Amino acid sequence: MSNICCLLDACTAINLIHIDEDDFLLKKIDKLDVHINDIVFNEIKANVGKGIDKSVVDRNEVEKAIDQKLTFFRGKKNDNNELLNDIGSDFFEKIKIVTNYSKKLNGELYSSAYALYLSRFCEKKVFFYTDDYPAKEHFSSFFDYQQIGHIKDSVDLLVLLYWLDDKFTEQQLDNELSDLHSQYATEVTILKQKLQDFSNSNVDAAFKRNKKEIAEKLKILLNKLDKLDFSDIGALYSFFETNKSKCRGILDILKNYSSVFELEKKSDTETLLDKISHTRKAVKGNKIYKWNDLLAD
Amino acid sequence: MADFKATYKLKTNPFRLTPATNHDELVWAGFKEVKEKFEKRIERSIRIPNSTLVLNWGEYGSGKTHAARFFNKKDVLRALADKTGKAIPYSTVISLPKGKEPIYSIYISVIDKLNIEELRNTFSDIVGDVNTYIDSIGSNLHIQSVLKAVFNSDIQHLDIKKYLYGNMNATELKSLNAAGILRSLKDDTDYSSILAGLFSCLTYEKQKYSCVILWIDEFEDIAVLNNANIDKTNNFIREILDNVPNNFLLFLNLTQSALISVEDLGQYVYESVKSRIKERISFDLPNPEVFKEYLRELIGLFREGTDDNHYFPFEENVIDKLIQELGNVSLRQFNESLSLLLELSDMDEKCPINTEVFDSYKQEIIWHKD
Repeated sequence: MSNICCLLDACTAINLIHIDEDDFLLKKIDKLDVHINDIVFNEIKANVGKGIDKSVVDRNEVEKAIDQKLTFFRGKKNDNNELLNDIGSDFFEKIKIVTNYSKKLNGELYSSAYALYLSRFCEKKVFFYTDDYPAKEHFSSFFDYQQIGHIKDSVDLLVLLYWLDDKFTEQQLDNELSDLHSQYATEVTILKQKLQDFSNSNVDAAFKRNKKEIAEKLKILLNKLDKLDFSDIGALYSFFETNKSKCRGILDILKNYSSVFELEKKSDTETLLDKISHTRKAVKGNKIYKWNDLLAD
Repeated sequence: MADFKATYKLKTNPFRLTPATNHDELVWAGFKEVKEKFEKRIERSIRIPNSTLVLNWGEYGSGKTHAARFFNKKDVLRALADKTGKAIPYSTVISLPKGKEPIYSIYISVIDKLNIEELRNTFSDIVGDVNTYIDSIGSNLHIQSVLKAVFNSDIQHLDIKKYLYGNMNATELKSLNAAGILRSLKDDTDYSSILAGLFSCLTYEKQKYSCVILWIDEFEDIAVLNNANIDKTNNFIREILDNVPNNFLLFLNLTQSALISVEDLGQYVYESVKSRIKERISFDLPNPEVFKEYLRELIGLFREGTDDNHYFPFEENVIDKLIQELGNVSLRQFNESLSLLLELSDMDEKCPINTEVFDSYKQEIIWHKD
């Protein structure tokens, strides 16, 4: 087993489940020291089915394959009750306060707290893999200050798996990255299309007059999705959530494609989609060394 | 609210953004050059046997989907066919699937629209010739049997439809054994072969259908597919064009987007497909004259009664102001603003729509992206 301690967030695990074929990635991940927090595993279980392609020939077969993969991740989860017995029942609440986390307790908070526990208990640097960019930005300083380790994303995990395994080829890495890109790009495209359809069917003059702000925000969100501009989209989500009584239809659509809102980033940083594209190009021109490459050189 | 038809002299709002449910409301206005290009291309396919790939290129909201829907109308196709004295084309519009099995999804979209009962009635007098023709298509006996079964009235049409969907279990499949169908369809090669064979049969000797027209809308979504499915989609297009060498016209509607620009088109559309593109039809943003001509014609098509002002209920200077305010935008954005302007005026019972009315609604109907 590798020395690298990897903690997976729900979105990363769900992506791995959806893009993995014939357990190619899972077999490689199994060689790492992988951990998943109890609560995060429940999030994975609850949300992994949402990503199943509606047009698949045999949905039962796909669900069966997902169940098998879930078994793999089940084996990597901890028991939060045991953890709380060990170190005190208010541990997660305490970390919530320390990290100034204003949202309700969720997978990213549990994972960040669990990362602290793992780092101290195992005396190891922990790599927390999440594609939730707002969470990444929020908890990075906590990871740095407490010297827990680093927060990375699914692209970094795929590259790690690539260089750790001699048999993982550059073409296979490109295919996995392309799968990951497709996962997110499809969600963005379908979300945009559903919102556009909603707008075409519902946003007429009466709607604009009665729900002016909602029509305006919907237009802004559509424009952002069109340009793949994910800055401040979380605020738009919150707006529709706050005004749910006036825009139930819109919120229902957003909830089904909530992973898109994890792509939010500060305006001066690259998006996950950009990072995937850049990495694919970079790997072709600038070799990522494996152990064997060093020997060969 | 006042009576809309009487006040605005319009049958209904001509600028609606949702696809028209009433077939008669699906009209073509203005943009004569683009229309002529499509008419010529379709007429050419009706007349001559060659198969052709055409790329329709333009910004979002420039009218590509509308063109697909308009030229998919039976009366429009019938008129084009009548000009040439040939049979009507068999036309279908589908969207490029975004899922993990794009070829299966394309296949299902075509089968969904295939009316086997109607097909059998249409081909009843030449079914013998079609069967002989099927024997000459390729060497796959299984595919040949399936194609024959589609045209064979002795087999229940729902049974063959069920088989084509892949919903027959092993016991049910036995009922098709006598027709030479001994296994289910199972992979992309099967799906492509069935479609290629079907398209060839439909246009046999141009007797019942002069050509097959397939529109793949939202082709830009190829950029959201993964490597494997980009490969499959390109291979499907190449194979279908190779395997249906005659009487097949394929339109790909492609919108430039943040995911797919002209520069990275080559990454998604392979040389093997690009080299087969015979024509590119560009949907340019309309200049003021083009837009005004479109508007006059559109309003004319929806006119209830008559009016000397071709733009009524809008005054012409309102249209000029709107063009000036919106600048260089897509037809969709013009339609969106005019639709809102008309609806707001109707709500407040204002008619005609003059610059005063326009100015009072300006903030509500004009929205700048940047």
